[in-house]
Amino acid sequence: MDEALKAIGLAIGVGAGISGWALLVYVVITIFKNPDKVDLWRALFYRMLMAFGSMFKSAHKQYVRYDLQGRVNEFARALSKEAPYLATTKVKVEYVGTETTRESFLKDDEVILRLRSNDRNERNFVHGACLITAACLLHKTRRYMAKTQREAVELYVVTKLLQREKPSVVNIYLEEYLHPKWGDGNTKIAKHYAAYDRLDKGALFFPVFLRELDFLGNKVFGGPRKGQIQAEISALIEFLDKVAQRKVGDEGDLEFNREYCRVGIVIVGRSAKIAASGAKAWVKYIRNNLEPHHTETIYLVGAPENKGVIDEVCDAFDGTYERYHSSIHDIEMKASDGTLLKRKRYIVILRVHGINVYQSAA
Amino acid sequence: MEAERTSVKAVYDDDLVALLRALDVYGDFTAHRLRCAFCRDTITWDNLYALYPDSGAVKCCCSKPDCVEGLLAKRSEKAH
Repeated sequence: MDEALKAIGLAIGVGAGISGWALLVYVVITIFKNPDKVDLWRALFYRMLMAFGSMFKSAHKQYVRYDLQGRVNEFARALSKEAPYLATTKVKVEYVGTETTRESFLKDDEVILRLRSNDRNERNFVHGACLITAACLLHKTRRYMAKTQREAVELYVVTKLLQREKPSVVNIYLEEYLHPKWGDGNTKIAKHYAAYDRLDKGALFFPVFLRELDFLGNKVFGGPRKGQIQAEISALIEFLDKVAQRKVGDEGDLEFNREYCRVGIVIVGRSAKIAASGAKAWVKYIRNNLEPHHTETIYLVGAPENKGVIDEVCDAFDGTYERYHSSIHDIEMKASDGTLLKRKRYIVILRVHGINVYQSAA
Repeated sequence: MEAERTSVKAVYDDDLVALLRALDVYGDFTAHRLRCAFCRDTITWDNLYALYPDSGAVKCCCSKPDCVEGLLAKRSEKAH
């Protein structure tokens, strides 16, 4: 009997040892593969400690920090396929306290966000998400936008972030931030918001819009031209809205050529054209229509089975355009009878070489 | 692509009084003389959203959405 118990004890011990090591290896591999998840695990750990009440007094403080930075970074990472520039920013929440002096505060020139210990319905997360989205994720994007356009973009992106990462606080955000700005639905902000939603439903066009704003944010302009740039942004929204609402087979204007923002959308789709001339038709179109207009960004869109043709078109412009990004998206398209079709689309972004950061006054 | 690290500074309530003292505004805060830089409402324990430096002074922003937007716009203009 004793021998049997020893054998069982040994088996359990060896098993526990192996499973302990296996668990450790699994954790290390998972951390290595998903460094962003570590913050969320930390948040979970501190949340568990919070259940012990005042025994772990600082647990809530650490929970708020890791939950906020973990979820914001997770959101940015998830959007990286649609909007790669978002993922280039990693947010870190840093607590300040007694070590701060008036001199260092004035010198550092940074906002200090207040996070509450009485965190009713996790409002800390809502307040933090608003500040981080505007100040970090959309920092360059918002630079040249009109106030209402900018506010609508922030409201739209924060709503997306909360819906994805923390749906339980969406109602607080709606109540405290969105509804007061929404008015009766006829405000400029409400109209912009509705337009962004239409662009986003097309899956492709909201990221295109954000990306173009990001490109604009990378330029500096000589002279006071904010009004002109804001007018271009309004026209860009209208242009993309029209493109997003077009039906399959519609022939419409797919070029947007203004002074500071020049975009061309090239749809590589017609199978008869592909069968007859391969990539040549689109190479010719870009050479004759987009290159002479100094189009800065070209979005090539087509079914994944046309990837080879799209890549061939890109290769033809190797000297003048840089392949900035390529990805496959699920998008919604309207058929000619108005029904919604869900399709996969391969998208390549070409960005012209040698764009001047400084745009001198005309 | 290497990610750019952006830090967001925050103060937790447990350290707020010490921070206000360190910034030399605690007296004004307790005497209800500290005001939101955007709407001029008195800053209280309930409505303080953020602190920020501006023209060599310590400024506060309350938690009204318009004031938060004002703060973000101000910081954005400054960065530009």
